[in-house]
Amino acid sequence: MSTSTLLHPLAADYLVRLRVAVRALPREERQELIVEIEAHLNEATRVGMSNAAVLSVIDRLGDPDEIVGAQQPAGQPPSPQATGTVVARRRGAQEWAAIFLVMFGGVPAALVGLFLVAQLSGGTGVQIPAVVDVIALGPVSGWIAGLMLMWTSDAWTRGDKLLGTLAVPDAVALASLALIPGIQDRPGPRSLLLLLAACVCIASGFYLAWRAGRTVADG
Amino acid sequence: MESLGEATLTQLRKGVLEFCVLALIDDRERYSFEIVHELGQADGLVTTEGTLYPMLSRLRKEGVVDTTWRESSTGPPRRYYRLTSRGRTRLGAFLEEWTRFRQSVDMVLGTGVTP
Repeated sequence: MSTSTLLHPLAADYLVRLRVAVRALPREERQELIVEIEAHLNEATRVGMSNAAVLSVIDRLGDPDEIVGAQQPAGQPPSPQATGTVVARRRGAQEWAAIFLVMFGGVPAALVGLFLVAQLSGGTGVQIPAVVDVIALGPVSGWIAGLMLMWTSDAWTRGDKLLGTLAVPDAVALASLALIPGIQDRPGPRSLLLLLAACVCIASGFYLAWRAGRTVADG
Repeated sequence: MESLGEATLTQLRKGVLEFCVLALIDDRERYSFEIVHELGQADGLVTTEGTLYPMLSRLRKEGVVDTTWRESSTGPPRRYYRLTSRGRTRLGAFLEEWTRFRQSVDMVLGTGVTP
């Protein structure tokens, strides 16, 4: 449905920027928006128009990212904000902060805490020195903050969020297996378990990052 | 004179813009650019004309407006918008609320004619 009429170079340039911006949308919706905006540019500008006049039209149209952001993905219930300038949030600052904190907020806490417990208690007792609690507290708060950021974000489904929440506890469980008397004094299996624990955390981070990049229409 | 905060203005616009679109096509059908252009003429109503297109698309999906493609002598085919019965109902409901709202606000602000 695209026209073959020529556009003023500035208008054509704007359309290029729009084509880049629409990649944030599901495939089915991209072409429609491009066609509409192209038609608008055809109506509002002429090839022979002055640059200033065309720029003023483009100015009124607005930033391509803003326009794309106003488009609600198919399947989402329309919100009162749909007419405004809300940018559809995918991998925004909140999402990256959540991923980082959920991944790393917990790992140092779990591993450092458990390692110190194993070392300081000489591998026999269950004495947990107060200092370990303090060391573990900081990163743990970071992890909890990461969880809060993750749960309040709309970039993930409930299932994604549950997986993200369970990642660190699962990793801690794996790591704590390293304390079992039979495994504790064998560096090989112990390291393997700790490595697995770290992998679980990192993998969950990648998973969350991947999922945040998908639009609602992709499921 | 201090101007209204950006956020407040944006909220006000967001609320009424879609109903302005409905009102525009109430008396006769109009095509996309016509709607956008005319709303753009109203002072302070639209800051980003481009965002009207996603709104039009949404109104279509909601069944509030119907569209027809018509040939144009001056260029590519144009998409004409008209109200559906659902759209007419929605517009009517808004007009009632808006009139009441406007009168109340004006009265409290003391800037309007007494109803």
